[in-house]
Amino acid sequence: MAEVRLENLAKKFDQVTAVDRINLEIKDGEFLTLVGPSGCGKSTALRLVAGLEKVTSGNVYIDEKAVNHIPPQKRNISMVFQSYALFPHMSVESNLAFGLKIKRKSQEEKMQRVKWVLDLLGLKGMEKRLPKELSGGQRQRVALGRALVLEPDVLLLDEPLSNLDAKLRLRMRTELKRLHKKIKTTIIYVTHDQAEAMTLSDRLAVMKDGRILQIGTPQEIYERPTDIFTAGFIGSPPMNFILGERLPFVKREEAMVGIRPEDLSVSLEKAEKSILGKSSVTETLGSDNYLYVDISDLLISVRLKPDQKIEEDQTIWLVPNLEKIHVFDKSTGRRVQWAG
Amino acid sequence: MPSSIKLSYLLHKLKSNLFTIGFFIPAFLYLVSFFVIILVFLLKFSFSEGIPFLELFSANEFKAALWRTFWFMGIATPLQLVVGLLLALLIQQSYKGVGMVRSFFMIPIAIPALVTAIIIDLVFSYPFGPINDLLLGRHGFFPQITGVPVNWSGSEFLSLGLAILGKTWRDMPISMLILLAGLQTIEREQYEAARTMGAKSWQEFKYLTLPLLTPAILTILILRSIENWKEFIFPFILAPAYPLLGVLIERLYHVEQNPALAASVALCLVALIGITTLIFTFITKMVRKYLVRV
Repeated sequence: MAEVRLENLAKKFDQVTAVDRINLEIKDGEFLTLVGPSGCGKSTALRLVAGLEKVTSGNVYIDEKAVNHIPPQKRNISMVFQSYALFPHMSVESNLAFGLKIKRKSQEEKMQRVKWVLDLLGLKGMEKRLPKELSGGQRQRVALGRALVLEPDVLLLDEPLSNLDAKLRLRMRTELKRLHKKIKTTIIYVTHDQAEAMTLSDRLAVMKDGRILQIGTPQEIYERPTDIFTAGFIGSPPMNFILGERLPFVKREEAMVGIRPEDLSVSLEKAEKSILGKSSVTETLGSDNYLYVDISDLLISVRLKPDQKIEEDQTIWLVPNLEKIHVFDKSTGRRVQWAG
Repeated sequence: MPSSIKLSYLLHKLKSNLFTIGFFIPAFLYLVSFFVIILVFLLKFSFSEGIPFLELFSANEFKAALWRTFWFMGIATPLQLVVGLLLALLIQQSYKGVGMVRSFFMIPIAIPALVTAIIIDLVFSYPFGPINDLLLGRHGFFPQITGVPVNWSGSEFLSLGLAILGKTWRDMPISMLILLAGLQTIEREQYEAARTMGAKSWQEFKYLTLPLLTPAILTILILRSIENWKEFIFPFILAPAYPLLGVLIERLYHVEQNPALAASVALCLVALIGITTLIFTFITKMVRKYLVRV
């Protein structure tokens, strides 16, 4: 268990800045997720913590100790790779015991810890199999087990679920969360999937172009995104953005207004402080139904009330929940205070 | 009629697999013409004058050549493996000019083995070769090592050593390329994973590179040991006084006009190659098993 602190951390590859002076504190036992689109530098940031990349400037601290010049072997971290990077020539058992063998643990301790991890991850009976004889989910668990068996101070997970099919991904997501509750290791998790980030993390850091845009609990980020990018990236279906001048009730020039689909309601009669539009298709997800509404050249998504049905091509009015709308400065993209 | 049913069934099978069989025919003919026929003639030759093996095994000349060849193979094969591995590791990394380095190490195979052998013979000639000049201190920049010139071809140890040197130098690109191909199939992330689990470079090599390379290593051990058992050119030129089995065959056939005995030596070589292949396969498997254990 350990705290991790990144201080003005930067990484350049030739001319390209992958990570641009980021600051981040990860508490002991916390599950923190770096989330962002591909190429935003989140994996590089993780590799810097692991020591697999050399820091260009800034510092990485693990338990208040600067580890910039400490090789990955001595950082007491473990990492799970997107490709799993299992050793193809070793059995499940040998894969799991590899780190312990390197650390010269006794045969007895090795077997005991391997058994613990086999139980923990439901891999019993697979000991003698080779990675190629396992399913995707099993491989993923071996990769996770191989990291856990070393009882690292910090566990680094680089998109560990992205090679699984949708159903399995959901199951592993839950398992991962339960696992963290049980072992309480500090976890840094990297993903491009905002839903994964939201559901798993204690806190998340949204990254774009090598910088951290916002750090906060999933709730905070969902409810008060500090900039347009975060607002649009977190949440599914994504937030709707409408230019301020088209919304007469938002008395602000140069504004971009963000409204989440669930903060809009549909009225068939003209209402005050509403947006005129024409209904288009409805997407049915079962529990939630989303209506797409044409307002001149924009397509707005709206979450319908249960049992609400709207025909296509009807004239309707969208009534926003004014307490929940987000207003951003159009040029800087930053959130601005707005009293509805 | 059961037999006619069987026949029609066979014909049906034959018809439906005609395409596959068609592909096998050239390979089959090749094997028959170049392998079976040669082996049959070899057997016929070797038994044409009674049982020549008894004569062979009691002949000191054969015994000496057998031992020499054994040592030649036993030293040259691992040497070629180690040199090939070192070079493969060197040219596998990416740095400026690695393409040049790779091409450079391919040169030996482009030079005919005979030419290489003759050049080595000239360079190490006695008593006035360039190497002897060097060792005698005739060039100012090099300290004098010996007072009398070294008679390389006069010593069994030195002349066969030179033959091993030449053979290793000439065949190194083959081992190097096979190992390079093997190295490039290992994913970088596997090394990174090992590193995050605490593995140092030598442990990465021992537990990842080496076991993952065993198919390539076994290929080299088998190919090179076959080549080394039947080596002819280098010992023929560099150590004519100390014949290996390959050289002995030539001598028995050409000089002593005894094809039966020559064929018997060749048959012995075939058997030795078979045994060596089995031994190397076994050793590699055991080493791999040892390296991947829990």
